Amino acid sequence: MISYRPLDLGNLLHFEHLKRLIDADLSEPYSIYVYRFFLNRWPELAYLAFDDDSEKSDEPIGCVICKQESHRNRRMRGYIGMLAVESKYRGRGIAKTLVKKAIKKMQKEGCDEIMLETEVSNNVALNLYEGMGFLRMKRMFRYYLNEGDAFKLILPLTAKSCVRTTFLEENVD
Amino acid sequence: MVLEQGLRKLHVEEQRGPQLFSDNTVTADDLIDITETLKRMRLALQPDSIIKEPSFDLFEGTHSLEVNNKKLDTSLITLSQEETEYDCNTAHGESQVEKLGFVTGIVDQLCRYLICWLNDYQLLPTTILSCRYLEYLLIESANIDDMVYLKTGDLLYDQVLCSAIYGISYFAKFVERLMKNGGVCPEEDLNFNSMGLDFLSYVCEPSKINKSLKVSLEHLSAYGDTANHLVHLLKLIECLVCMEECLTKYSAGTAHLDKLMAEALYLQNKNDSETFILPLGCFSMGIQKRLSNQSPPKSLVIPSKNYDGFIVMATDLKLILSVNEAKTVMELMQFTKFFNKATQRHVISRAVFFAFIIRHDETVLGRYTFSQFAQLHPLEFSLASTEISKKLPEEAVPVLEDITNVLFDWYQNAAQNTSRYRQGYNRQLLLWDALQVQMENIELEFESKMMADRANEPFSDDSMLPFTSWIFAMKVTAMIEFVLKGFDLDVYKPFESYVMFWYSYYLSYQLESCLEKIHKFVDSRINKIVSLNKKIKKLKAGEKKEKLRAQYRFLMDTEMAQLQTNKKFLTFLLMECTIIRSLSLSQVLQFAILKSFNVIDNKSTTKCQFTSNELLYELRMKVFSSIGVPEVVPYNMIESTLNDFMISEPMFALKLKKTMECIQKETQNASIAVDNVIKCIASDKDGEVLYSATRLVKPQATDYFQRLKTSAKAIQLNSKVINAKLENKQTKNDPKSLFTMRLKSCENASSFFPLLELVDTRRQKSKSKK
Ligand SMILES: CC(C)(COP(=O)(O)OP(=O)(O)OC[C@H]1O[C@@H](n2cnc3c(N)ncnc32)[C@H](O)[C@@H]1OP(=O)(O)O)[C@@H](O)C(=O)NCCC(=O)NCCS
Repeated sequence: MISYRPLDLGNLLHFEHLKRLIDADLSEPYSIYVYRFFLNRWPELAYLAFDDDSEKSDEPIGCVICKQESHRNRRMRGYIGMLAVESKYRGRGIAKTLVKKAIKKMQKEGCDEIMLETEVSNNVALNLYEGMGFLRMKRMFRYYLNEGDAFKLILPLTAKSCVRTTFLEENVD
Repeated sequence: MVLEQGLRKLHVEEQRGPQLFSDNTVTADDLIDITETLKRMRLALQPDSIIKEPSFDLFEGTHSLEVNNKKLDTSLITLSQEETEYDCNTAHGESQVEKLGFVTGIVDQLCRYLICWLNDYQLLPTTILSCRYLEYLLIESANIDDMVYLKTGDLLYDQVLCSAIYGISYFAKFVERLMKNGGVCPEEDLNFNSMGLDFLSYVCEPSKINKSLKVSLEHLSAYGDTANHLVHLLKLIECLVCMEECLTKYSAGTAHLDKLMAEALYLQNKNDSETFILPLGCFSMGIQKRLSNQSPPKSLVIPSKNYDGFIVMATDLKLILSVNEAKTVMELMQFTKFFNKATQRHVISRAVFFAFIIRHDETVLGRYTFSQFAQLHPLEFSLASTEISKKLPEEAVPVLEDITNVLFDWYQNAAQNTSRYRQGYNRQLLLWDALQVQMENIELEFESKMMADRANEPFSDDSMLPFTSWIFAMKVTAMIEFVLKGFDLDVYKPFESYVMFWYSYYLSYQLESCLEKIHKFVDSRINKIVSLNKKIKKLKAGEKKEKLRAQYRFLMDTEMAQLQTNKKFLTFLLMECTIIRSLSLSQVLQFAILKSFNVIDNKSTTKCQFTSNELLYELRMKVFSSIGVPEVVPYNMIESTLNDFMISEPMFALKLKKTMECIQKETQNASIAVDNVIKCIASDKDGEVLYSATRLVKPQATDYFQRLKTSAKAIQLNSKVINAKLENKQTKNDPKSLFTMRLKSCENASSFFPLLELVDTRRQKSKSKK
């Protein structure tokens, strides 16, 4: 059975596995800073998946890492920074569950929208997110240096997501 | 983790402090004891918080490096002995033949690296900066602010190689300047990671480099045919050195570009078997290890035989420089509209474009002041022969300045890469909209005090507001471009295509009305002048007749020509508008048919656990949400527009036939309009009815419209194919389970109008089973 848990920031073993999981699919790894940037500030927005039936049931086999910040002080924007599932566990709905858990949490925390970027050629990720309602808002030319273009995707959660920031009232707090 | 554990063990070794500096350059007195400060600050730290500069954000983070991580730390790059010990002041090669081969090989690789860098978007450190000589010479020269030459004792290295490297570096310096001008996007379009090297900032003009290249060519003449390849390379470099003249002298001359193309063609056609051996260690990742570097380790690029890349660069730059021949602002605008539209132009030409037209002396092309520039745009459109143009109200002057700025934005945006181009329109919509509000107030006020610019027709009571109309046309054109460019960039899913095509239909309808109104006005002004002549003929000789004749002459001399040109240009724009409207409507109708057969829906197929179709629609329309006119259509209204187009029983077959006929008619309309437009573009001249002002971008404009025609045909054919598939008895009962939809761009057709293609899922499935 696959179980899902929020991140335990103190567990360095989990951290190490999660980093390996994500780096496996990147041509250029993220520096440790990027992981710490997300995880130390928003540990509650990271979810891990475990295979309880496996011998290594304490090693995460999937993870989603997010952040949430005010966008120009006008709307709350959730952001999915990283998502990966170990290759032999793919196609079983694990990523979908992880992403849903993260979005639910961000929605509860008051996010007006969820945003992310993904490569134009990453059909699996595009299918996954578009299947949840994300829209491609813009294309970015050679977003990944030396590599392909990217799409910026947004999932609107409230009406604030659909108004240009210039025309939204600034949050006072 | 190893690093984290290591960091945890870190502590201040107080006793060792001053002894750290064993060379005695720093004494204990020079040091300040910060132990207490450090301890105090440590206490204030929150566990697990990240220590960072406030400005250091995720963007910085994703570009950050990591010490001791092999993939992120360039100091861990391992170099071969040849690389480490490479000596630039040795003349590598046993014999003179080998030396010539080496030098030719180095220059050849550098030239091909230039193309990898500029045409294939590669990085400087993995291309030209990987050359040991280039690094060495730039460092040594920067030390004395003058070009240093090698001292190997062999002129092939000391003279020929050095001059080639300085030529290439000088060209790179020009590219650096272009990038700083801001015409294109750093990183996206072009990378200039100089690794802290000074690219000849101390060489202000190219004469020294040119002279040096000439000396090299003379030296090579002694080698005869064996140096042929190198001679052509040096000549090619000579042309690159001249390239900056389009901005330093605003020269539109293209002789050096023609020569560059000829040299590149020669090199490209040369026998493939000619490969040069390079001295070991001469191109290396070493610079990434040695010099200031913000990037992770990257392997060197392997350049292909890519001299034709220079031809692409020169051809595109020639096109840009031809803008200098624009005789009117109308031609300048049409040039700008088409030069980068169907094919993205070379980065150098795109970077040159804006700097070449908007000049340091605050003129446009050295011909118009900025304020003339702002007024000529509406004048060559709707402003000619109007009351307001004759008595421009004072309040309009600052708005003209705003117009100049928005126009600059428009011109600059046209040269952006294909993705930025759409984003540029996103920004511009707000600017045009704000301008419209400002100008409309001024014009209404003017009208109430003075006279309205109104078509001289019995039933026309609404005035034309020439400035506002021009701004409105610019705005709506930008909106249409934004919508359709989304198809080109694959931004929309098939389910969204209804809304997007409907919008482009709706917007082109709005634009058409605006253009018609201006057209009517211009026509009435022309008629007014013509009727003056008739009036004169009827009058008896006398003072009144002379007065009228003088007035007539004056109007003929000052206004008639512009009015005639504007009228024909507006007719051209109206035709273009018809094409877009007809094609959009055909796609809308096609969608309605597909929805009537239940093979597609205009709603996301998601379960929408977190969002709703209404929110998705509003998000898609966010860019237009603040625009007053034309306003965003509310969600339920958009739904009802689709229902109006859909077909249902009774008489389904008949209604289907009618809708198909409608598609047929619209696509045919578009095709006929395209034919007229293309004829007009080909004729160059101010024709009888149409004027395109595309003299300088004939092939580009023709290509754009030709593609629209291909799209018209493809849409028509596609509609028949779809009909045949859906009417098939076997599929009729449950088409939704048998087909999916996708948006497909066809070869040679316009990517603004991809086809709504019906894909047979059964065939796909059986294919994937195999
Ligand atoms: C993207 C990734 C996380 C998906 O993980 P997963 O657990 O296999 O995904 P799921 O099983 O939850 O599938 C969710 C949806 O993704 C899409 N998808 C999954 N596998 C797919 C495939 N092979 N082809 C096409 N779409 C696929 C489907 O839409 C699927 O929904 P559906 O089953 O309802 O049709 C995984 O492939 C991965 O780790 N890839 C490498 C890292 C990466 O690309 N991350 C995303 C960066 S933004």
